[in-house]
Order: sequence, then structure tokens, then C-alpha cells
Amino acid sequence: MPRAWVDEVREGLKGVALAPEKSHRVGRRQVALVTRYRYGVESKKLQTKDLIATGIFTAIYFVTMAVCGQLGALIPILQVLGPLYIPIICGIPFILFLTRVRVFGQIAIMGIVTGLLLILTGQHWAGLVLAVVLAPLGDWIAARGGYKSWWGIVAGYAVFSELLIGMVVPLFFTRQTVLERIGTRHDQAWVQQVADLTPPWMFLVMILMIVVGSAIGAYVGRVLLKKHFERAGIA
Amino acid sequence: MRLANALAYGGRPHLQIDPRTKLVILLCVNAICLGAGFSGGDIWVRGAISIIPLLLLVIERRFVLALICGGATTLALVMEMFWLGQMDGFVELTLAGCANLAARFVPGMLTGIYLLSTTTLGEFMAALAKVRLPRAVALPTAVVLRFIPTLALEAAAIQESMRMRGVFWGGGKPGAFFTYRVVPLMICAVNMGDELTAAALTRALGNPGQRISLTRIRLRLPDWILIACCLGILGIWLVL
Repeated sequence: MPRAWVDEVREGLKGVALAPEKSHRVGRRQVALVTRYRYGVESKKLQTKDLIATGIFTAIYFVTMAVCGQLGALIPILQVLGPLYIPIICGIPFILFLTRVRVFGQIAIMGIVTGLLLILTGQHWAGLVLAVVLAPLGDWIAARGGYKSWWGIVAGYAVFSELLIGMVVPLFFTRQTVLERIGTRHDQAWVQQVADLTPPWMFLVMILMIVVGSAIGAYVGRVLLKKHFERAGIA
Repeated sequence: MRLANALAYGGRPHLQIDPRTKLVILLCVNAICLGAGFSGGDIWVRGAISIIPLLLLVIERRFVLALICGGATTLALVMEMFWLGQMDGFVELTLAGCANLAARFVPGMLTGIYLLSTTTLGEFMAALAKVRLPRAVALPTAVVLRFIPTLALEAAAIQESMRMRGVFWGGGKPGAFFTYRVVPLMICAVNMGDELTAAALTRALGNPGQRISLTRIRLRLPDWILIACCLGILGIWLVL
């Protein structure tokens, strides 16, 4: 907020009920509030409406992710392809969300809430740790481009989507336990198949798959945004 | 339409349980049902934790739901117990897959239904404020938890109206599925979001400072019993 505004508001506040009576010191929050009402200036701080919008798009994002993830539980090969197709489909709510992102921090909050929900739905805690680190980073990258530059969006979304890798962390880092657990209900051939499908280098491949999937997802999202949402007047 | 109806808030619950307890139960149920195996002690731990959401639903008089889901879980667990290691052939493998899915997801789903159908947004907010979650995270979390039932309801309504117009699963084309199902749902969601914002601001949710709640959020005896049960079962599973 420009210095001049603060002084102006401070002047104006003298004698107004908002100002404390004893001293005329005015808190930053009051200045922001009064500025907003008097001058119609949009505060660049996180407001309630931003938080609600974030919550709503997080809900859509999470439900999309969960529904896509469930397909993997039904069809085994999709489990390996999950890192590729989940970011593609989740790209639609994410790109739509970007039209509602007004201040820095909304994407970060989306990631953190997604991480919390992942823990609540029984996923490995690595998901939350990754979300807390990667979501703010993705937010920062997207913010460099003002949430408008195409490459900023793609890079930010790719970094953000890497939190999905938290779901397969147990398969690679506590490998023996997971394979033993599968072994209790399937024969050795099945365990071998799972082990063959997921060699350790597959982890790196999955990280790359998420990047590729995110790029495609961002593109699909933008196409749909142009085709449907802008026409409907909600973008 | 069924799932959406089951998720909707069903009025004042018969047994008032703290939202924090519900979250602990959800966490434990999901951690065990998705994480545990099907051998030895694990299957007993599974059975024990699966009873908790059923019990809660019975207390809330949701008998039909409890009966169907309880039956499915029991059947799945019994199948897992006695069919272990003797699975070959397509039919057996399909049945085993279904049993596996039911045993893993049904208890968590039930807990989710219980959590969402007995808690209001205000209670969530008050409970999350009590665990000192920052407002910037607590508000979106509460919105997500309250918004999921609405989303399910809207999806069901869209499906209904599309069926009335003779559109089934996009006629086999994935692009058409997006156009007819996903796009309307997103537009609905965005519009509802704007309405929700207006409603929240009317209720002074935008007011800085501490909020107070009419509902008293505190841990009573049933809460402590439930938490002890859940953590006890979780502890047994981790030690085993």
C-alpha cells in the first residue's frame, strides 16, 4: 500500500470512531479496511472470499483426484499409469482455479489442504510433507508469471502435482513390507509381476510422468476453459 | 442419488460427538483399512476397527445403511479369511478383487458418511479452531468437507437430467462425457462458490478476530471412549 494512502487514511481517521481514542496510532489492519471501503482498493491480502474459493476448488480437485485414483484400484495397469493420467484430468479444475487466484498463497493452501485430506483418507504421510514443501513452491513459480504466463502456469502446476508422488512412496521406500503384504493374498507370480512393474528407476519415471501429465493437463484445461467456461461467463 | 442423500446433513445427531473425535476415527479407520494386510492378526484388527463406524451409524438410526455396509464388510472379511491363497480362475479372482475393495474402502466410506452427515460447517470451524489450525487452512478445510456432499448432490442431479435427455455416459466418447457431465458440474460448483461466499460474508465470516460458536465443542465421555478404542486398535496393529 502506498505510503501516501496510509497517511491520508490516518489523517482521515482522526476523530473517526475507528481510531483509538487515547493515541491516534492505527493498526495496519484498520488502515487496510478503511482504505478498501473508502477508496475501493482491493487489498492484496488473503480474504475470506479467497479462502472459500480455494476450499471449493480444492474440493473439486480432490474429488477428481480420488475418483481417478480409484480407477487404479480396479485396473492394476492404471496404477502404474496413474502419475500420467491423474494430472491430466485434474488439470481442468486447476486451470479453472487459476482464474480465481487473486493473491499469493491460494495454491499453497490448496496443496496443504489436499495433503491433509490425503492423510485423512489413509494415504502415506509423505503426501502431506511433499504438499507442504511443493505447493508453496509451485505457487511461487506460478506467481512469477502473475498466474497468467503460460509457462509459469505449466511449471507451477507440474511442481504442484508432484505431491501425487507421495502416494507411491511406500511402494518404493518400504518395498519389502509392501511386497510381503501383497504376498499374503496373492501367489508369488503376482508379487513378481508387481515387483517387475515397479523397479526402483520407475520412481524417477513416475516423477517425469507427472511433469508430462501436468503439461498435457494444463493444455486440456486451457482448451476447455476457452471452449466452455469463458463462453458460460464464469472464467 | 443414494450416495448424495446419505451424505447430506441429517439434522441434529442423536449422540453429540466432537468433530475432532470424528476426524480421529476417520484417520484410524482409513489408516488401518488401507494399510493393514489380510493375514493373521491383521484381519482381526480390521474387523475391530470396522465395527466403530457401524456402531455410530446404528446410534444415528441409519439402520439400512449400516446393515448393507456391515453385511458387505463382514462377507468380505470372511471371504478373505477362508479363501486365502486358493485363488485361481477368473470368477474367484473377480470375487476376491471385490472382497478386497469392500474390506478396504467400505469402513472408511461409512466413517466419511457419518462425519459429513452429522456435522455442520460451524461445528467444523469451531473444532478446527480448537486444534489451533491457522484460519487460512481451517476455513478451506471446513469448506471442502461441507462442499463434497453438495458436489455429490449436483452430480446426481446432472446425471438425472442428462438421462432424461437420453445422454448416457457420453455415448462412449470421453469428450462428450466431459461436455455433458464435468463441464456442467464445474459451472455449478463455481456458481455455488459465489453464493457460499455471499452467505459466509453475511454471517460475518470475513470478520477478523476470534469467532465464537453457539455449539459447545468439547470432549465428553463418549468421545474419550471412542478415541481410546481407535488409538488402542491402532496401537495393537502397529505393535503386531
